[in-house]
This record gives sequence, structure tokens and C-alpha cells, in this order.
Amino acid sequence: MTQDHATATDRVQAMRDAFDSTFSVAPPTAGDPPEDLLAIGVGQAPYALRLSEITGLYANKPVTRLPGTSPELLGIAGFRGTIVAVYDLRVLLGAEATEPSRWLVLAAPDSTVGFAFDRFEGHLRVSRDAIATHAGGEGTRLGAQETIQLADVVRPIVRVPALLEAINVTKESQEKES
Amino acid sequence: MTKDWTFSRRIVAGFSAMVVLIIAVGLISVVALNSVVSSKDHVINVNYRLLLDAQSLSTASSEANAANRGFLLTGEKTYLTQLSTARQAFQTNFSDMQANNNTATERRLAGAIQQSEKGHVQAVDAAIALRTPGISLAAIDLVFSSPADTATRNQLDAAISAFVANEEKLLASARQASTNDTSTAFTLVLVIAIAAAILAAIFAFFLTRSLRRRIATAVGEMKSSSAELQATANQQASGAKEQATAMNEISTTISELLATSRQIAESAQRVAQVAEQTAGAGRKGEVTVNKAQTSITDIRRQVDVIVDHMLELGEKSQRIGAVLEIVTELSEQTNILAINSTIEAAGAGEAGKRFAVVADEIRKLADRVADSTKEIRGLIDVVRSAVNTTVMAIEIGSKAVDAGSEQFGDVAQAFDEIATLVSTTTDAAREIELSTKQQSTAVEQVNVAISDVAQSTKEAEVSSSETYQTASQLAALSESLGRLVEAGAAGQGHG
Repeated sequence: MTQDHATATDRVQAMRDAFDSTFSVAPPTAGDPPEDLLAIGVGQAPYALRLSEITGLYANKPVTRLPGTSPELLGIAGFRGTIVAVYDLRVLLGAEATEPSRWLVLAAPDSTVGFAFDRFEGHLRVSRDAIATHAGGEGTRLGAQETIQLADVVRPIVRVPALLEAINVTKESQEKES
Repeated sequence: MTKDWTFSRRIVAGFSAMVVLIIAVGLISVVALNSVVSSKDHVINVNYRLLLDAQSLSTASSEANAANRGFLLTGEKTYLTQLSTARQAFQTNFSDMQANNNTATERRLAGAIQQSEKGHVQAVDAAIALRTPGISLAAIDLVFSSPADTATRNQLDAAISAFVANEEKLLASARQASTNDTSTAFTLVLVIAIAAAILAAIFAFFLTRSLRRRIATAVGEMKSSSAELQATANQQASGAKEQATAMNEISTTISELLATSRQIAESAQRVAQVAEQTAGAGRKGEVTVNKAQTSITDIRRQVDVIVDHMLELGEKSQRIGAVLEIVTELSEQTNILAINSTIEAAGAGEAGKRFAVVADEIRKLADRVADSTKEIRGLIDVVRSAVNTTVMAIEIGSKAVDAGSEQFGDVAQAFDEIATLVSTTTDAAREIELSTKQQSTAVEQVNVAISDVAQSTKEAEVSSSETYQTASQLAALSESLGRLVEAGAAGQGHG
């Protein structure tokens, strides 16, 4: 127990030192700036989103379903007076939907489309060199041709513009059909 | 009926018959002899006496006549005295003779003698009166030749002679009668004696035959009995030997039993001592159990307190978990806020870089809080699990304590029962010790008795041998007796 207490004290001191050093050390200027990613979970699979491709992260946001809509469109939600169409990222990525999605992000640049997913697993700040690019593959349509590997977990990076494009393509085809 | 008579009874009956015959023969002989003697006595006492008396009368008469004649011749008085004595003798003899007269003839002849004697006395007295001193011879001759004297004297002699003749006739007749009686008695005695001899012979024959049969049967039975007695004596001797062997084995076994009984007595004594020690240990154990039961009651109370504290700790941990949910929610919202701040700072361009640093730190703090809350949640889960496990373990322990308390109660009761049983065991061990000692004494007595029996068995063996020898001798004797009986029967058959 004494050992555990000592470990906790050390951790507190380390956290304090890290916090203090953040404000005492000058920000790095040389080299490429790091890439901020949002680690998420869709179904049972891990994914990542670029922080630069979204305008906000929200939890437990109520979504109003719309009648006769496509299966990937969960409904609409209100954000500061703006109506946002919320799409189910599980349907878009081909994952199985078992429970209601708790998390939601708004897509950049105009924040009129939101994507709902199951889990928010954290914020990742990685160098651009850590991102691997893959040519072709099934995820091309949704933009999942880049991956980031941290520890033993490999996360495909979902590109929000690709998702928007796919939604628009689907929307146009539905409009043509109708 | 006589077939059922015993040997001695038959002998007694035979000898009794013989005695009866002898007595009968004797009585008859006595009667016959008495008759003969009476007849002879009558001849001697009556007939001969009367004859002698008659002859004495004749003698006295002759003596009186001689005295008379002497006086007449000499004139001497002495002759007168003789004459008087002769007359007295005559009277005495006559009186005796007259007393013995039985027949009328005798009395008549006696009367004639008396009359003749009286006449003769008168004639003699007359002659004596004539004889005076100085008388002449002629006168004396005249007196001598007096017809009265001679006549009376002849008459007297004739009367006496007649009487004698009669008596001689009676004597002859009585002698003949006596001889006849003697012959009759002899014949009777002879006949009776022959008859008795024949009856005795018949009795002896039948008695001998009967006794021979009985003796032969008895000898046969004695033979078979001797044989059986020999066989029995043999069996008895072999049985006595086997019994002696068995007695020796029994004696050995009883000695071992005696040793075992003594060992049992010593063991019982040790058991009694151990039981007393056990009783003491049981009492100490009972005290210890009572103390342990009291301690268990205290432990039960403390366990209840611990359970209450643990349940309270579980509730507190649940409350901590609830608070932690709030912290988690706050850290999550902080994280969301930090991320959104980072996005906003990135959108602000160069002006938002410093704010981006702050937002990044806020995000890091939120991540750390989230990590800490996860860690705390894990610790709380561990604590709750430990509390649940502890409560369950305490419950199990509490039940174990209850069971232990009950078991201690059972143990205390068992100790009571043990104490009672140990007391019973002590008493039983003492009784066993006492009984075993008594048994040892009894076994010793039995051993002595067995020794006596063994000695008696040896004596019985010797006695059986002697019995066997006696039976052999008895068999030989019965053989000899049988041969004697057979020989006697053969001799009788040949005779």
C-alpha cells in the first residue's frame, strides 16, 4: 500500500511537471506541424478522423428521425440554431448497428452534416510521417485509404470530404430516380 | 408260580420241605418209640412187677413157713421175729401187688391169696401157740403134721401159683403186644423214612434241575456280562487314556487361560488408570471447549461488526462509484470541450495557436482525469469485489463459526458423554479387573479340580485295567462254572 501511495505521488509530480513544462517550454517551430486525429470506434472496428475535417465533437445529442429517408440518414439535430443532417457512420462504413450512436461530429467546412458513431476513444497527435497511405481498396469511396498505427492498433483514417461526396452522389442518384 | 421264585427262595423251600419231612419222620418215630416204650414200660412196670410181687409173696410165704418151722423146732424167739418180718414183707408185697391189679381176674386171684394167707396165718398162729417150752418132739411132730397147717399152706401156695400163672400169661400177652407195637412202629418209621427219602429225592431232583437251569442261565448271562464288561473295561480304559490326554491339554489350556486372565486383569487396571487420566483430560477439555465457545461467541459478534463495516464499505464504494460517474462525465465533457477548443483554435489561425496550447493541456488533463477515473473505477471494482468476496467469506466464516459453535456445543456435550462414558468405563474396567481376579481364582480352582480329575482319570484307567482283569477272571470263572454245570448235567444224564 505504501508502494502504491508512493507511485501515485510520483505520478502526481510527473503530471505537475508536465503541466508546468508546457507553459515554460517554447512551442516548436521547425518541421511539419503534427496531425491531430480523433480516435473513434464504429461497430467493433477502430477508425480515425482528421480534426481539421470536423468542426465539433458532441455527445448525447438528440437526433430526430425523418420518415422515408435513406438508412444512412439517422435524422436531424439542432446546433446553435442550425439544422444538421446526421448520418450513421456505421451504415456508411458497412458496420453493424446494434445500439444507438452516442457520439457525433460535425463535418467541416459548413457544419451542416453530422456523422454519428459508437465510441470516442481519444485525441491523437501524430506526425504526418506516421500516416500510411494505401492506393486503391474498398475504402476508396469513403476516403479510407490512409491508416495510422499506434501500438498494435491500426486505424483507417476516414476522410470527411469523401463521406460528403458519397452522400451527395447518393442524394443525386436518389433525386434522379425520383 | 414257582418259576418266579428266586434261587435262595427255591433253596429255602427245598430245605424247608426236607426239614418238614425230617420233623414228620422224627415225630412219627417219636410217637412210635413212645408207644413201644409205653408198651415195654407197661410190661415191665405192671406185668413183671406183679409177677415179681407174686414171686415175692411166695418167697415171703416160704420165709414165714421156714421161721414157723424153725420156731416150732427150736422154740427160739428169733424165728418168731423172722416170722413177723416175713409176714410184714408179705403184706407189703401184697399191698403193692393189689395196687397194680388191673383186671378182675387179678383182683379175684389176689382175693384168693388174701383169704388163703389169712387161713394160713391162723393155722400157723395156732401151731405156734401149741409150741410151749418143754414140749415133746412128738407133740412137735403132731404140730408139724397138722392138717390145717398143711392145707392152708398148700392153699396159699396154690393161690400164689395161680396168680403167678395168670401174671405169666398176662406178661406173655403184653410182651407179644409190645413186640407187635414195636414192629408196627418200625414198619411205620421205615415207611415214613422211605417216603421222606423219595420226597427228598424228588425235591432234590426238581430243585437241582431248576437250579441247574437257573445257574446255567446265570452262567450264560455272566459270560455275556463278562464279555461286555471286558469290552466296557477296554473302552473305559481307552476312554480314560483319552480323557487323561484331554485333561492334560485342558490343564495346559487353563494355565494359559490363567496367564491370560492375569494379563487381562493388569490390562483392566491400566485401562482404569487411563480412563481416570482420560476423565481428567476430558474435564480439562470441557473447560477448554467452554472457553473456546465463549471465544467463538465473541468472534461471532466481531464478525457481525466486520460484516456491518464491510457492507458499509460496499455502500461507500457504490457512492464513490456514483461520484466517479460524475467525474467521468465531467472529464468527458472537458475532453469534448478541449477538442472543440482545439478545433476552434485551429480555425482561428495564428491567433489561436496559444489557445490551442491551453486547449491541448485541458484535453490532456481531461485524458488524465479519464485515465484516473478508469483506474479508480477499476480500484472501486476491485474494492467492491473484495468487499463482496470478503462479505461472502465472512458469511461463510460466520456460518462456519455458527457451525463451529454448534459443533463446540456438540463437543461439550460429547465431552460430557465422554466423561460419563469414561466413568462407566472406569467402573467397567474395575468390575472387569475384579471379575478377572475372581475368574483367575476360579480358574486356579478349576486347574486344581482338573488336576484332581486327571488323577481320578489315571486311577480310573488303573481301575479299568483291574476291572478288565476281573472281568477276564470272571469270564474264566463263568467258563469253569459253565463246564461244571454242563458236566453235572451230563453226569446226571448218564446217571
